[in-house]
Amino acid sequence: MLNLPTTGQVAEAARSLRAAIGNPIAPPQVADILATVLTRWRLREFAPRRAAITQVSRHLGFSIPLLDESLDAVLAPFTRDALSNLAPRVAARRELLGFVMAGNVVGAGLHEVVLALLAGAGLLVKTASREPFFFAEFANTVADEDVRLGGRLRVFTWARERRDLTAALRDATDWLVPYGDDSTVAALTGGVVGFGSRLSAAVVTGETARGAPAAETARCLARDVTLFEQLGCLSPHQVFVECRRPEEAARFAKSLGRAMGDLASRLPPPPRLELEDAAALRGVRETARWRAIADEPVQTIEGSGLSWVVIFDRDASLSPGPGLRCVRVSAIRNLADLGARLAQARGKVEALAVAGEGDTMLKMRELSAAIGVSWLAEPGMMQSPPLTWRHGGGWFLDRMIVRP
Amino acid sequence: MAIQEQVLSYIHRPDPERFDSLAIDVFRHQYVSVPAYRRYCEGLGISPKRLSSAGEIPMVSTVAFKYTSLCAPASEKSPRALTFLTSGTTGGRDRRGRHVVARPDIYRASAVAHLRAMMFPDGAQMRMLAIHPTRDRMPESSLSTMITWCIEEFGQAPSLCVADRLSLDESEALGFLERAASDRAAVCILGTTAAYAAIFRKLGAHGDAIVMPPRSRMMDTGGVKGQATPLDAREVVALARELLGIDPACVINEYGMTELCSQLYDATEFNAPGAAAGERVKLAPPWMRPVAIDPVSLRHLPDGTRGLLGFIDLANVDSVSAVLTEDFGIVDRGRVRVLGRAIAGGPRGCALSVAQFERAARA
Repeated sequence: MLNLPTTGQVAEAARSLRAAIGNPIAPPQVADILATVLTRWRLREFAPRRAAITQVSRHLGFSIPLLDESLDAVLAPFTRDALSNLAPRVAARRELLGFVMAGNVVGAGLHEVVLALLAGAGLLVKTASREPFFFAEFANTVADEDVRLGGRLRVFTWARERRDLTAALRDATDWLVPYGDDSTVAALTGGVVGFGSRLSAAVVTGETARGAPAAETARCLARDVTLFEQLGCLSPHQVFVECRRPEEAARFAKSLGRAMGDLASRLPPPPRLELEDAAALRGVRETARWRAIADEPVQTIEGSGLSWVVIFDRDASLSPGPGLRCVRVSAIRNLADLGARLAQARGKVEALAVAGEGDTMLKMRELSAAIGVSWLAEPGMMQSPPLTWRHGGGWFLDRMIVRP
Repeated sequence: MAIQEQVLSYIHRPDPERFDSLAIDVFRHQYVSVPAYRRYCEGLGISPKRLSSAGEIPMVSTVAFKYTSLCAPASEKSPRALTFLTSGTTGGRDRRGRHVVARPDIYRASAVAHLRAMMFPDGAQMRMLAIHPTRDRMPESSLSTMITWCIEEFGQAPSLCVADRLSLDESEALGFLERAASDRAAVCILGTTAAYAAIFRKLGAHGDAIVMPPRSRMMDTGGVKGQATPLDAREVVALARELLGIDPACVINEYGMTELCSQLYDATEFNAPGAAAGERVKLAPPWMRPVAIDPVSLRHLPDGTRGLLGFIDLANVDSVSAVLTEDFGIVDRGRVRVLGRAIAGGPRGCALSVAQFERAARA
């Protein structure tokens, strides 16, 4: 499966992709091909999907049920209708893009890959050596469905230490689209516009936290936290609960803990953790535990081992945790308080899930826009942004779309 | 005999066969006398009655020292108690850890005994150069206190401290070393690796080297912490030889922390003849047991396995003896390889890591 090229093969692939770009396919036809491909990918028993998930599970140690549910969430918005509606709105982009994908998050980058294919671009994709499987399988199924469209998508894998290959990718393409915090790509200059690493959060309004929907909201947010083992930019790290008394937020934290525990039995966490990850998780828990012993307003609700943890940290501002099912719950008095808690993370927040309605949602939209949130989601839907998701602030979407 | 006196007696006359039973007795004492530790143990469902081996003593993370007192309330108020603070720089966290040592005499006995074994196995007394503030200049620093004790126990006039909490006078340090070289008097230099880096830079900039007399030695500690351009352990040894003429076997790195009253030192041909072949390892004193800990289960790992370093330090008798650090390491037959700090949040997918966020927040 590992498709390690030489620099010459990268250059040759780029020449072949440029030739394919010169033979355009109408966007509605591309949408039709992709809809067929993605409909198959949404079927859990689809053989290439099974192959990819099995390999990813072996490689990253994530459980197959977790990977299946995560991939379901990514693929959910890619319906035939959504693709057909998007096709007439794309710009004509006859250019060659180099994608540098992040590891750990299966299917991350699919939104941009699909947009670029609809727009007529050619794509040379470098996957992370930690997760080289999904896009390789995906490219094969595109080629199987339509050889012309398949000719516009090539996938290779190499480690970030192979600076020669990354430089060859940059030289061979019109611009690079890196994901995450790749220091190798960051060292390159010119033609690089990336999706930096970001984090997400959730907000539960007072009426939701106090009312009947609280348990269901907790279940939905537990899913948002758990998918992708919380390693994606759309994974929430903190839940802010609007409340008159902090005990209400603490109660919601317990409810979220129950939901995390239930989900862990259905979507098992990795049986083994890397030492560094385990140490980070241990550090978070021990900090919470000792703060509680010191009578700070902190409570820990946790599963066995390091499987999952909910930390009620009453007064905390938004900051990331180590991922791997570690989420904090904090109390807020009102939306102004929320604004203050998010201020330090301004420009770093990708998505906010909001459980609430009416006026609150209107105000949340204003607040989200002010801090640069790209996706305001319902709880449970954070990992399924629409095809027109303004990922990373929308710079890529704006290049690919002519009519908003 | 009070538990403190038992520990002191053990430091003076170690008996490995007694370590486990004494460690359990120390734990019982701490469970009863340190309320926060008792709460922690109760939370884990561990009581001294059910403890069958020293390996089951609950380890307290060093982060605990940032949030709560881990000293018996009565001892904390003792006029002879000393309070030490961590530097608070690690990982950008602003809260400083606090370790109250109710019996500084036990701390001193531990520090001095292992200094004698690892830095002065030849019984030498010599001139001392402190390139880290001494206790009078930085009383909250455990390293400052240890350096002061080292000077008092093993120093010979003239000795000099060339640092305060804000600065290091490299020129004065070099002047002291040049005079000692001219007097053919051996010197022991004591300080952080960062301070050595500054001294080496100054010497290197002059293009000079000082050839220190035989038996000169140096103790560095802290590793890359506080260094703009990190100097690793091998570079320290190489530069000490090249710029100061100090025998590599006498360049000894110390591993210690505010939360522990005992320290580890590099084993070299100087202090552990025949036992120091190959990669450098560190040795703890007989009253401290190093272990590698599995961060998932918090159980002790088998020899040779990478884990979080933990220690059972009997000299911590009036706080907590079982301390879990944030450093990775390997323990093999009591020898420790320190592999560096566990960084919160390594490479991620597209999620923002803790390290990235803290860097951005500091910028």
